[in-house]
Amino acid sequence: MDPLQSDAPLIVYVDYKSPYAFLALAPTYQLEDDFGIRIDWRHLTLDIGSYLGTAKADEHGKVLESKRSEEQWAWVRYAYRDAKRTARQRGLVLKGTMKIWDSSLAAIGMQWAKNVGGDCLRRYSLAVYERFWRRELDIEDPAVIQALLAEAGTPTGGFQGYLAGPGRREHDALQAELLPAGLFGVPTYVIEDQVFFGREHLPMVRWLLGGRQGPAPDVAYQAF
Amino acid sequence: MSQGINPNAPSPRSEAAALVAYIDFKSANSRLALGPTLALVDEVGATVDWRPLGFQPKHPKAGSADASRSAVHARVRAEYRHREQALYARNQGIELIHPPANWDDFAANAGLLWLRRQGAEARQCRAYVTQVFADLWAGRMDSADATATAAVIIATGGEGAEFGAYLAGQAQAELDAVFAEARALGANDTPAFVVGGELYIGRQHLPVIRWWLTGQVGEPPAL
Repeated sequence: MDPLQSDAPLIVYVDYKSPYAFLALAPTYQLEDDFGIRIDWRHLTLDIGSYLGTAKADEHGKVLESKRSEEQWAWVRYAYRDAKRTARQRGLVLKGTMKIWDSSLAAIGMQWAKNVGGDCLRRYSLAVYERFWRRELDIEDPAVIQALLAEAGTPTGGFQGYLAGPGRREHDALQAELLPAGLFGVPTYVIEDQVFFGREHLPMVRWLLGGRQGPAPDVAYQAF
Repeated sequence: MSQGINPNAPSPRSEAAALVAYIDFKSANSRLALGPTLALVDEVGATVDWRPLGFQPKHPKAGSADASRSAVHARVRAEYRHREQALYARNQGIELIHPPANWDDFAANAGLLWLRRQGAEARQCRAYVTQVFADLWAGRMDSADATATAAVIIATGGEGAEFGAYLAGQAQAELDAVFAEARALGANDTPAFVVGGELYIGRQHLPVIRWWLTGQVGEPPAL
Protein backbone atom coordinates (compact mmCIF):
# COMPACT_ATOMS: atom_id res chain seq x y z
CA MET A 1 0.00 0.00 0.00
CA ASP A 2 1.36 3.39 -0.98
CA PRO A 3 1.15 5.53 2.18
CA LEU A 4 0.36 8.66 0.18
CA GLN A 5 -2.05 7.27 -2.41
CA SER A 6 -5.68 6.25 -2.19
CA ASP A 7 -8.81 6.10 -4.32
CA ALA A 8 -10.46 8.24 -1.62
CA PRO A 9 -10.01 12.02 -1.74
CA LEU A 10 -8.60 12.12 1.79
CA ILE A 11 -6.38 9.77 3.79
CA VAL A 12 -6.34 10.25 7.56
CA TYR A 13 -3.75 8.59 9.76
CA VAL A 14 -4.66 8.14 13.41
CA ASP A 15 -3.60 6.12 16.44
CA TYR A 16 -6.03 5.11 19.16
CA LYS A 17 -3.46 5.86 21.87
CA SER A 18 -3.00 9.48 20.76
CA PRO A 19 -5.08 12.09 22.60
CA TYR A 20 -4.72 14.43 19.66
CA ALA A 21 -6.09 11.81 17.29
CA PHE A 22 -9.01 11.33 19.68
CA LEU A 23 -9.75 15.06 19.59
CA ALA A 24 -9.52 15.06 15.80
CA LEU A 25 -12.03 12.26 15.35
CA ALA A 26 -15.31 14.20 15.47
CA PRO A 27 -14.23 17.21 13.38
CA THR A 28 -12.70 14.86 10.83
CA TYR A 29 -15.86 12.78 10.55
CA GLN A 30 -17.64 16.11 10.12
CA LEU A 31 -15.67 16.54 6.90
CA GLU A 32 -16.92 13.19 5.70
CA ASP A 33 -20.50 14.21 6.46
CA ASP A 34 -20.27 17.79 5.15
CA PHE A 35 -18.66 16.88 1.85
CA GLY A 36 -20.26 13.48 1.36
CA ILE A 37 -16.88 11.86 0.86
CA ARG A 38 -15.32 8.64 2.01
CA ILE A 39 -12.20 9.00 4.13
CA ASP A 40 -9.48 6.39 3.86
CA TRP A 41 -8.70 5.87 7.56
CA ARG A 42 -5.36 4.27 8.34
CA HIS A 43 -3.51 3.54 11.56
CA LEU A 44 -0.08 5.00 12.20
CA THR A 45 1.02 3.07 15.25
CA LEU A 46 3.18 5.55 17.09
CA ASP A 47 6.54 4.47 18.43
CA ILE A 48 6.33 7.05 21.21
CA GLY A 49 9.43 5.89 22.99
CA SER A 50 11.58 6.75 19.97
CA TYR A 51 10.81 10.46 20.18
CA LEU A 52 9.29 11.15 23.59
CA GLY A 53 11.03 8.57 25.76
CA THR A 54 9.12 6.16 27.96
CA ALA A 55 7.48 6.36 31.37
CA LYS A 56 5.02 4.59 33.62
CA ALA A 57 2.75 6.24 36.17
CA ASP A 58 0.21 5.08 38.72
CA GLU A 59 -3.48 5.92 38.46
CA HIS A 60 -2.89 9.19 40.29
CA GLY A 61 -0.24 10.31 37.82
CA LYS A 62 2.73 9.60 40.09
CA VAL A 63 5.68 8.63 37.90
CA LEU A 64 6.94 5.13 38.67
CA GLU A 65 9.53 4.77 35.89
CA SER A 66 10.94 7.30 33.46
CA LYS A 67 13.37 7.35 30.56
CA ARG A 68 12.52 10.88 29.49
CA SER A 69 14.56 14.05 29.35
CA GLU A 70 13.28 17.22 30.98
CA GLU A 71 12.49 18.58 27.51
CA GLN A 72 10.46 15.48 26.67
CA TRP A 73 8.56 15.74 29.96
CA ALA A 74 7.77 19.38 29.23
CA TRP A 75 6.27 18.35 25.89
CA VAL A 76 4.22 15.55 27.39
CA ARG A 77 2.91 17.73 30.22
CA TYR A 78 1.83 20.52 27.91
CA ALA A 79 0.31 18.11 25.39
CA TYR A 80 -1.93 16.53 28.02
CA ARG A 81 -2.77 19.89 29.59
CA ASP A 82 -3.82 21.19 26.18
CA ALA A 83 -5.69 18.05 25.18
CA LYS A 84 -7.56 17.77 28.47
CA ARG A 85 -8.60 21.41 28.28
CA THR A 86 -10.09 20.88 24.83
CA ALA A 87 -11.70 17.60 25.87
CA ARG A 88 -13.41 19.31 28.81
CA GLN A 89 -14.76 22.02 26.54
CA ARG A 90 -16.19 19.36 24.22
CA GLY A 91 -17.62 17.22 26.98
CA LEU A 92 -15.17 14.36 26.42
CA VAL A 93 -13.42 12.37 29.13
CA LEU A 94 -9.68 12.20 28.59
CA LYS A 95 -7.63 10.61 31.35
CA GLY A 96 -3.88 10.46 30.93
CA THR A 97 -2.52 7.01 30.20
CA MET A 98 -0.43 5.21 32.83
CA LYS A 99 1.92 3.59 30.34
CA ILE A 100 2.69 3.64 26.64
CA TRP A 101 0.22 1.18 25.19
CA ASP A 102 0.77 -1.11 22.23
CA SER A 103 -2.14 -0.08 20.02
CA SER A 104 -1.35 -2.46 17.18
CA LEU A 105 -4.15 -4.93 18.03
CA ALA A 106 -6.70 -2.11 17.97
CA ALA A 107 -5.13 -1.00 14.68
CA ILE A 108 -5.64 -4.43 13.15
CA GLY A 109 -9.22 -4.28 14.43
CA MET A 110 -9.50 -1.02 12.50
CA GLN A 111 -8.31 -2.77 9.31
CA TRP A 112 -10.89 -5.51 9.86
CA ALA A 113 -13.76 -3.07 10.39
CA LYS A 114 -12.65 -1.04 7.38
CA ASN A 115 -12.67 -4.16 5.19
CA VAL A 116 -16.23 -4.93 6.28
CA GLY A 117 -17.31 -1.47 5.15
CA GLY A 118 -20.37 0.60 5.96
CA ASP A 119 -20.41 2.41 9.26
CA CYS A 120 -18.66 -0.41 11.13
CA LEU A 121 -15.37 1.44 11.30
CA ARG A 122 -16.95 4.64 12.61
CA ARG A 123 -18.80 2.77 15.36
CA TYR A 124 -15.71 0.75 16.24
CA SER A 125 -13.42 3.80 16.37
CA LEU A 126 -15.83 5.84 18.48
CA ALA A 127 -16.12 2.98 20.96
CA VAL A 128 -12.36 2.38 21.14
CA TYR A 129 -11.47 6.03 21.57
CA GLU A 130 -14.12 6.90 24.13
CA ARG A 131 -13.54 3.88 26.34
CA PHE A 132 -9.78 3.84 26.04
CA TRP A 133 -9.54 7.46 27.15
CA ARG A 134 -11.83 6.71 30.10
CA ARG A 135 -9.31 3.99 31.03
CA GLU A 136 -12.03 1.40 30.56
CA LEU A 137 -10.36 -0.58 27.79
CA ASP A 138 -7.41 -2.92 27.57
CA ILE A 139 -6.49 -2.50 23.93
CA GLU A 140 -3.74 -5.10 24.26
CA ASP A 141 -6.32 -7.87 24.82
CA PRO A 142 -7.40 -9.63 21.58
CA ALA A 143 -10.71 -10.69 23.14
CA VAL A 144 -11.52 -7.07 23.97
CA ILE A 145 -10.87 -5.98 20.39
CA GLN A 146 -13.04 -8.78 19.03
CA ALA A 147 -15.87 -7.86 21.40
CA LEU A 148 -15.70 -4.24 20.26
CA LEU A 149 -15.89 -5.30 16.64
CA ALA A 150 -18.93 -7.40 17.37
CA GLU A 151 -20.54 -4.52 19.20
CA ALA A 152 -19.89 -2.33 16.17
CA GLY A 153 -21.90 -4.75 14.07
CA THR A 154 -18.91 -6.38 12.44
CA PRO A 155 -18.88 -10.14 11.78
CA THR A 156 -15.96 -11.54 13.75
CA GLY A 157 -15.63 -15.08 12.42
CA GLY A 158 -11.96 -15.62 11.62
CA PHE A 159 -10.85 -12.43 13.31
CA GLN A 160 -8.40 -14.06 15.71
CA GLY A 161 -6.67 -15.78 12.80
CA TYR A 162 -6.55 -12.49 10.92
CA LEU A 163 -5.13 -10.77 13.99
CA ALA A 164 -2.22 -13.16 14.26
CA GLY A 165 -1.68 -13.67 10.52
CA PRO A 166 -2.55 -11.47 7.54
CA GLY A 167 -3.82 -8.58 9.65
CA ARG A 168 -0.57 -8.38 11.56
CA ARG A 169 1.49 -8.64 8.38
CA GLU A 170 -0.58 -5.92 6.68
CA HIS A 171 -0.22 -3.68 9.72
CA ASP A 172 3.51 -4.16 10.07
CA ALA A 173 4.14 -3.70 6.35
CA LEU A 174 2.32 -0.36 6.34
CA GLN A 175 4.12 0.87 9.45
CA ALA A 176 7.47 0.18 7.81
CA GLU A 177 6.49 2.42 4.89
CA LEU A 178 5.29 5.42 6.87
CA LEU A 179 8.40 7.16 8.17
CA PRO A 180 10.22 6.85 4.82
CA ALA A 181 7.15 8.47 3.24
CA GLY A 182 7.42 11.43 5.62
CA LEU A 183 4.60 10.38 7.94
CA PHE A 184 5.57 10.54 11.60
CA GLY A 185 2.61 11.56 13.78
CA VAL A 186 -1.14 11.72 14.12
CA PRO A 187 -3.55 12.93 13.10
CA THR A 188 -2.08 13.33 9.64
CA TYR A 189 -4.14 14.32 6.63
CA VAL A 190 -3.05 13.44 3.09
CA ILE A 191 -4.89 15.29 0.37
CA GLU A 192 -3.88 16.18 -3.17
CA ASP A 193 -0.39 14.77 -2.51
CA GLN A 194 0.09 17.16 0.41
CA VAL A 195 0.66 16.07 4.00
CA PHE A 196 -0.72 17.99 6.98
CA PHE A 197 0.13 16.97 10.53
CA GLY A 198 -2.32 18.05 13.24
CA ARG A 199 -5.97 18.98 13.41
CA GLU A 200 -5.01 22.65 13.24
CA HIS A 201 -4.86 22.05 9.48
CA LEU A 202 -8.52 21.10 9.23
CA PRO A 203 -9.36 24.58 7.86
CA MET A 204 -6.84 23.98 5.07
CA VAL A 205 -8.13 20.44 4.42
CA ARG A 206 -11.67 21.79 4.33
CA TRP A 207 -10.59 24.55 1.94
CA LEU A 208 -8.98 22.01 -0.39
CA LEU A 209 -11.99 19.69 -0.30
CA GLY A 210 -14.24 22.65 -1.02
CA GLY A 211 -12.40 23.59 -4.20
CA ARG A 212 -10.19 26.38 -2.88
CA GLN A 213 -12.91 28.97 -2.49
CA GLY A 214 -11.60 32.30 -1.18
CA PRO A 215 -8.18 32.88 0.37
CA ALA A 216 -6.29 29.93 1.81
CA PRO A 217 -6.89 29.72 5.57
CA ASP A 218 -4.24 29.71 8.26
CA VAL A 219 -3.93 27.00 10.89
CA ALA A 220 -6.62 27.21 13.57
CA TYR A 221 -8.40 25.20 16.19
CA GLN A 222 -11.68 26.54 14.89
CA ALA A 223 -14.94 24.64 14.90
CA PHE A 224 -17.09 24.67 11.76
CA MET B 1 13.90 59.28 25.04
CA SER B 2 17.23 59.37 26.86
CA GLN B 3 16.89 57.87 30.27
CA GLY B 4 19.79 55.41 30.39
CA ILE B 5 19.73 52.10 32.17
CA ASN B 6 17.38 51.97 35.10
CA PRO B 7 17.12 48.56 36.73
CA ASN B 8 13.95 49.60 38.48
CA ALA B 9 12.19 50.69 35.33
CA PRO B 10 8.79 49.10 34.80
CA SER B 11 7.83 46.67 32.08
CA PRO B 12 6.41 48.32 29.00
CA ARG B 13 3.38 50.43 29.70
CA SER B 14 0.93 47.75 28.80
CA GLU B 15 -1.06 47.41 32.01
CA ALA B 16 -4.21 47.14 29.92
CA ALA B 17 -2.75 44.32 27.85
CA ALA B 18 -4.59 41.10 28.46
CA LEU B 19 -2.37 39.05 26.22
CA VAL B 20 1.22 38.02 26.88
CA ALA B 21 3.08 36.60 23.89
CA TYR B 22 6.40 34.79 24.29
CA ILE B 23 8.27 34.81 21.01
CA ASP B 24 11.57 33.52 19.71
CA PHE B 25 13.07 35.57 16.90
CA LYS B 26 14.71 32.49 15.39
CA SER B 27 11.45 30.52 15.40
CA ALA B 28 9.63 30.30 12.08
CA ASN B 29 6.40 29.59 13.93
CA SER B 30 6.85 32.78 15.93
CA ARG B 31 7.42 34.65 12.68
CA LEU B 32 4.29 33.14 11.17
CA ALA B 33 2.24 34.05 14.24
CA LEU B 34 3.12 37.72 14.10
CA GLY B 35 0.71 38.85 11.38
CA PRO B 36 -2.32 36.88 12.58
CA THR B 37 -1.69 37.99 16.18
CA LEU B 38 -1.45 41.65 15.22
CA ALA B 39 -4.57 41.35 13.07
CA LEU B 40 -6.46 39.88 16.01
CA VAL B 41 -5.44 42.48 18.58
CA ASP B 42 -6.09 45.31 16.13
CA GLU B 43 -9.55 43.95 15.47
CA VAL B 44 -10.50 43.62 19.13
CA GLY B 45 -8.60 46.67 20.41
CA ALA B 46 -6.12 44.82 22.61
CA THR B 47 -2.38 45.16 23.04
CA VAL B 48 0.29 42.53 23.39
CA ASP B 49 2.93 42.25 26.08
CA TRP B 50 5.77 40.81 23.97
CA ARG B 51 8.44 38.81 25.79
CA PRO B 52 11.45 36.95 24.40
CA LEU B 53 11.88 33.22 24.86
CA GLY B 54 14.82 31.42 23.33
CA PHE B 55 14.98 27.84 22.12
CA GLN B 56 17.32 26.01 19.84
CA PRO B 57 15.50 25.47 16.54
CA LYS B 58 15.28 21.93 15.20
CA HIS B 59 16.75 21.96 11.72
CA PRO B 60 16.70 18.98 9.39
CA LYS B 61 20.08 17.26 9.43
CA ALA B 62 20.38 16.10 5.85
CA GLY B 63 22.85 13.32 5.37
CA SER B 64 23.08 12.61 9.07
CA ALA B 65 24.88 9.35 9.77
CA ASP B 66 22.61 8.62 12.72
CA ALA B 67 20.15 6.07 11.34
CA SER B 68 18.46 5.28 14.65
CA ARG B 69 14.67 5.44 14.58
CA SER B 70 14.81 8.38 16.95
CA ALA B 71 17.14 10.35 14.68
CA VAL B 72 15.19 9.51 11.54
CA HIS B 73 11.95 10.52 13.24
CA ALA B 74 13.45 13.86 14.29
CA ARG B 75 14.74 14.52 10.77
CA VAL B 76 11.44 13.61 9.08
CA ARG B 77 9.53 15.80 11.54
CA ALA B 78 11.87 18.74 11.00
CA GLU B 79 11.67 18.39 7.22
CA TYR B 80 7.89 18.35 7.45
CA ARG B 81 7.90 21.47 9.61
CA HIS B 82 9.96 23.33 7.04
CA ARG B 83 7.52 22.41 4.26
CA GLU B 84 4.53 23.37 6.39
CA GLN B 85 6.06 26.69 7.37
CA ALA B 86 6.96 27.47 3.74
CA LEU B 87 3.38 26.80 2.65
CA TYR B 88 1.80 29.08 5.23
CA ALA B 89 4.46 31.75 4.68
CA ARG B 90 3.53 31.79 0.99
CA ASN B 91 -0.11 32.09 1.97
CA GLN B 92 0.74 35.04 4.22
CA GLY B 93 2.89 36.58 1.51
CA ILE B 94 6.00 36.80 3.69
CA GLU B 95 9.60 35.81 3.16
CA LEU B 96 10.89 32.92 5.23
CA ILE B 97 14.59 32.39 4.72
CA HIS B 98 15.64 29.86 7.34
CA PRO B 99 18.71 30.94 9.26
CA PRO B 100 21.68 28.69 9.96
CA ALA B 101 21.36 26.19 12.78
CA ASN B 102 23.75 28.13 14.99
CA TRP B 103 21.84 31.39 14.65
CA ASP B 104 22.51 33.60 17.65
CA ASP B 105 19.54 35.78 18.54
CA PHE B 106 20.89 36.98 21.86
CA ALA B 107 21.09 40.60 20.73
CA ALA B 108 17.62 40.54 19.19
CA ASN B 109 16.08 39.08 22.35
CA ALA B 110 18.01 41.46 24.56
CA GLY B 111 16.83 44.39 22.45
CA LEU B 112 13.26 43.64 23.38
CA LEU B 113 14.13 43.45 27.06
CA TRP B 114 16.12 46.66 26.73
CA LEU B 115 13.04 48.45 25.41
CA ARG B 116 10.91 46.97 28.18
CA ARG B 117 13.28 48.06 30.95
CA GLN B 118 13.25 51.58 29.53
CA GLY B 119 9.50 51.66 30.04
CA ALA B 120 8.80 51.68 26.34
CA GLU B 121 5.23 51.95 25.23
CA ALA B 122 3.49 48.90 23.85
CA ARG B 123 3.51 50.44 20.36
CA GLN B 124 7.32 50.69 20.51
CA CYS B 125 7.70 47.07 21.49
CA ARG B 126 5.32 46.13 18.69
CA ALA B 127 7.31 48.15 16.18
CA TYR B 128 10.55 46.53 17.36
CA VAL B 129 9.17 43.00 17.16
CA THR B 130 7.65 43.63 13.74
CA GLN B 131 10.82 45.14 12.30
CA VAL B 132 13.22 42.56 13.72
CA PHE B 133 11.10 39.63 12.55
CA ALA B 134 10.71 41.10 9.07
CA ASP B 135 14.40 41.87 8.67
CA LEU B 136 15.75 38.65 10.18
CA TRP B 137 13.55 36.29 8.18
CA ALA B 138 14.13 38.17 4.95
CA GLY B 139 17.87 37.81 5.45
CA ARG B 140 18.40 41.56 5.83
CA MET B 141 19.66 41.50 9.40
CA ASP B 142 22.22 39.57 11.39
CA SER B 143 20.60 38.67 14.69
CA ALA B 144 23.95 38.73 16.47
CA ASP B 145 24.73 42.24 15.23
CA ALA B 146 24.35 44.58 18.21
CA THR B 147 24.69 47.66 16.03
CA ALA B 148 21.87 46.58 13.76
CA THR B 149 19.73 45.80 16.79
CA ALA B 150 20.48 49.18 18.33
CA ALA B 151 19.45 50.82 15.06
CA VAL B 152 16.04 49.17 15.29
CA ILE B 153 15.73 50.24 18.92
CA ILE B 154 16.47 53.82 17.94
CA ALA B 155 14.07 53.64 14.99
CA THR B 156 11.28 52.67 17.38
CA GLY B 157 12.06 55.67 19.58
CA GLY B 158 14.19 53.89 22.14
CA GLU B 159 17.58 54.74 23.58
CA GLY B 160 20.29 52.85 21.75
CA ALA B 161 23.54 54.41 22.88
CA GLU B 162 23.97 52.27 25.98
CA PHE B 163 22.56 49.08 24.48
CA GLY B 164 26.05 47.68 23.94
CA ALA B 165 26.85 48.05 27.62
CA TYR B 166 23.61 46.35 28.51
CA LEU B 167 24.44 43.44 26.20
CA ALA B 168 27.82 43.02 27.82
CA GLY B 169 26.39 43.36 31.30
CA GLN B 170 23.00 42.48 32.62
CA ALA B 171 21.29 41.26 29.48
CA GLN B 172 22.14 37.57 29.86
CA ALA B 173 20.93 37.36 33.46
CA GLU B 174 17.74 39.20 32.64
CA LEU B 175 17.02 37.02 29.62
CA ASP B 176 17.66 33.92 31.70
CA ALA B 177 15.13 35.16 34.25
CA VAL B 178 12.46 35.79 31.61
CA PHE B 179 13.13 32.39 30.01
CA ALA B 180 12.89 30.69 33.40
CA GLU B 181 9.60 32.45 34.12
CA ALA B 182 8.17 31.23 30.83
CA ARG B 183 9.36 27.68 31.28
CA ALA B 184 7.89 27.61 34.77
CA LEU B 185 4.54 28.36 33.15
CA GLY B 186 5.04 25.33 30.91
CA ALA B 187 6.03 27.19 27.75
CA ASN B 188 8.23 24.72 25.89
CA ASP B 189 7.92 26.27 22.44
CA THR B 190 6.92 29.50 20.76
CA PRO B 191 4.78 31.35 20.13
CA ALA B 192 3.36 30.85 23.61
CA PHE B 193 0.40 32.96 24.65
CA VAL B 194 -0.84 33.59 28.17
CA VAL B 195 -4.35 34.94 28.54
CA GLY B 196 -6.95 34.48 31.24
CA GLY B 197 -4.44 32.46 33.23
CA GLU B 198 -4.21 29.87 30.46
CA LEU B 199 -1.16 28.94 28.41
CA TYR B 200 -1.57 28.30 24.69
CA ILE B 201 1.31 27.24 22.47
CA GLY B 202 0.91 27.92 18.76
CA ARG B 203 -1.06 30.36 16.63
CA GLN B 204 -3.74 27.74 16.04
CA HIS B 205 -5.13 28.88 19.40
CA LEU B 206 -5.90 32.41 18.20
CA PRO B 207 -9.65 31.65 17.94
CA VAL B 208 -9.87 30.88 21.67
CA ILE B 209 -7.58 33.82 22.43
CA ARG B 210 -10.07 36.01 20.59
CA TRP B 211 -12.77 34.58 22.84
CA TRP B 212 -10.75 35.58 25.91
CA LEU B 213 -10.03 39.08 24.60
CA THR B 214 -13.65 39.75 23.69
CA GLY B 215 -15.16 38.97 27.07
CA GLN B 216 -15.65 35.20 26.92
CA VAL B 217 -19.10 35.42 25.39
CA GLY B 218 -20.71 32.04 24.90
CA GLU B 219 -18.79 28.79 24.89
CA PRO B 220 -15.10 28.88 23.99
CA PRO B 221 -14.44 27.74 20.45
CA ALA B 222 -13.14 24.23 20.71
CA LEU B 223 -11.85 21.99 17.97
